[in-house]
Amino acid sequence: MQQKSKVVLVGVATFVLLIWALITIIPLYWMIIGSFQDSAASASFNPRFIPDSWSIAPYERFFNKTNAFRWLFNSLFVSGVLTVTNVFLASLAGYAFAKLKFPGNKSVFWILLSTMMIPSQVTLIPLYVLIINIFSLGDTYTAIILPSLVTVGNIFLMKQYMSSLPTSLIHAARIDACSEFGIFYKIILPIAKPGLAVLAIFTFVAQWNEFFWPLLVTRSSSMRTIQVGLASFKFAESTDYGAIMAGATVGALPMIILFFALQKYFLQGITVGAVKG
Amino acid sequence: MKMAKKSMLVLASSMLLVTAACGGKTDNSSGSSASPASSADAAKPDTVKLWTYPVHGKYEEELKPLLEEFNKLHPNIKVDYEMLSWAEGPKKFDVALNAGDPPDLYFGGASGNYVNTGLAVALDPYMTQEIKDDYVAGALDGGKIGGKQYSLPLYQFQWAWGGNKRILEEAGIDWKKIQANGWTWTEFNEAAKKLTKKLPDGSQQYGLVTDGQSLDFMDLVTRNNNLPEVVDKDGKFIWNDARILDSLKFIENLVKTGVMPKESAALTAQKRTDMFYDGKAAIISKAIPYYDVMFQNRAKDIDAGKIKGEKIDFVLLPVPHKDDAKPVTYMGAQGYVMFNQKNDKGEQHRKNAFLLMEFLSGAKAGNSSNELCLPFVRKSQAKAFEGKGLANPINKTASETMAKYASQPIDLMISTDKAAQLKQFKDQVEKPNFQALLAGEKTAEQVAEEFKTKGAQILR
Repeated sequence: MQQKSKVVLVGVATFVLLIWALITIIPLYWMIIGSFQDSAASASFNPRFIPDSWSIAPYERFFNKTNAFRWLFNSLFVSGVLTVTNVFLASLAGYAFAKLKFPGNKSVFWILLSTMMIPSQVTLIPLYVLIINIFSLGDTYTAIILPSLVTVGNIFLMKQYMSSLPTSLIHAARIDACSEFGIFYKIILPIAKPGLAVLAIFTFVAQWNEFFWPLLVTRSSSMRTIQVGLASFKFAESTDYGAIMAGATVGALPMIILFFALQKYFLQGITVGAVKG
Repeated sequence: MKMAKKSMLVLASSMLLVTAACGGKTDNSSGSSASPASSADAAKPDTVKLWTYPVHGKYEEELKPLLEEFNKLHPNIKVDYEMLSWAEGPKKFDVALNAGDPPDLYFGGASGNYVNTGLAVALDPYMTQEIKDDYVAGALDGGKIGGKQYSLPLYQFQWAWGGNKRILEEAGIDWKKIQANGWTWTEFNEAAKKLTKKLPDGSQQYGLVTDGQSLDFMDLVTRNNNLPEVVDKDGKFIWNDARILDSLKFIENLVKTGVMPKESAALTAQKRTDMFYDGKAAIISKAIPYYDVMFQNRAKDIDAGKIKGEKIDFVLLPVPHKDDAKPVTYMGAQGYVMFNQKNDKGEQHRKNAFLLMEFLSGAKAGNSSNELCLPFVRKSQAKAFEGKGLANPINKTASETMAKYASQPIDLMISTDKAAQLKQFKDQVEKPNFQALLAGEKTAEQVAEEFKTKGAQILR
């Protein structure tokens, strides 16, 4: 009897999850089929889930009428550089806050953490003044990259992860006369791979999808990222939804590839700090 | 240890790559101090920053040769231009303005909020009599705030409604008569009943579709009930009597009777247009005369097989007015506005910016009015482009008829402080209540009461 109810429960759960999976996949499906239809059809008030006809015209418009390849390169470059800097700097900072004893360790960490409470709207204009007016960095990669070189959120994530790693390994390495950077590089980094992978995925995805800051600090079409470039398909009284869908599909590919490539780490990393005692 | 060195090398290289890639620095002119400009100053190299929009479909194509020509005339003035998107450009401009670093020239309408920042430049000292005389009567007024000229109009916009000729004729609506004589709310309600129906494929055809994301519809309806704005030209709050309640009841009734979709509050301007393309909307609000060209281009794309859909004959319609109110057509000016930056670039820089502003609003820029199917604002533009317009003659006549009942935006006549209060009222009170009315979350009476109380507080 118990066995039977368990089977029913699993069946119901599977059914609910299937429905949920279907719901979450609909926007993705809509984006892909929308990229093969004309603009009116992809934005129709009565959506058709199976298109009447297929066309690659939106892709032609996306690639031929714009700097699409340059936008993709810019997004890859900016997201790639920021992933490297965030992984390196946040893991160093996280390690220091979690495992090293130095005066002001806790207070500096809490001060850093408190900056997360300030809404981005408040810091937006001062940041703009700093980057554009004072440093005159408008329309450069530096302007896009500099403010996100390392984020407090990522330092916090790495501090939590590093705290869950055994301190005894660090003590043992110190007894063996390993330098502090050697301990970090040879002992900590190899066992922190799942956490670093999660950090890398989150940072890359967040930076890939970043829209407003690159919009603010770039001027020329050749400096736009893919998200900013896609907005240029919106006109005063019309929007080229087909081309936007085509661009979004192309833009989503690196994310999908990244997710599947690092899926193992991603799943491990979701439980970062979950069993920390 | 070798590994550590390697990783440091990789990181250092990536940092170098970033630095190397950051070479293309913005050209920011330091400008001269605010001393009187001499002819030597006039010849000094300068960069004028211009932020504009795709004013019409071919605007960027027109702008590039215009800028090249300007550069030949003034080789010392470099124009650093950026084509913003209508969707995100205003947000970008807002941040730049608040940061004290707006572009020298920005495309838009004169606004009290710009003047309040202290960065908008009054153009009167730079305007010669020749320039003033070139503008048709009343055209410059659309760029004035508190009697000072803040914008050089490129064209005069006109807001109306638009109809699908086929649907109107199938329902027996005499659209030509409406174009010529206008119509009342009662007449519109009767027509709307005929235009709202289930289509053979089971989908719904709506009599009227508007977007609930902007306040354009509210503006058009209230103006046609003797309410030129939330405040009158003296800045006195006037949305507190039966006129506003009647306007709200008119809107409420349109949703209740199914003439407008119940999802109206969530509809964007694009969705509204798409429903019109799709034959699901008989009439749309708002429409502008430029839609004529837009629909003509769409028909060409359909003929060329680029897109699928029904070719729609667009009919420009006046906004209906309350039976005992006078008809009003909302018109105003759009053009370039000049700004100083907190880091002042000097008088000569402003003169250079004005030279560009005048060039981009002058005779050679007259095609914008043609493309947008609007009356010319300058005599020189009319001379250069008269008769080359793209509008369907029927709609052109309708636009000219509507222009006879033109009403200018009130926010140009009131003080800048009052204009800021007006914006606050619109953002914080009018918009959420208008959307609540469309969504059926509030009744017309509740919204009117809210307007009355909050308006009295904000617009004292």
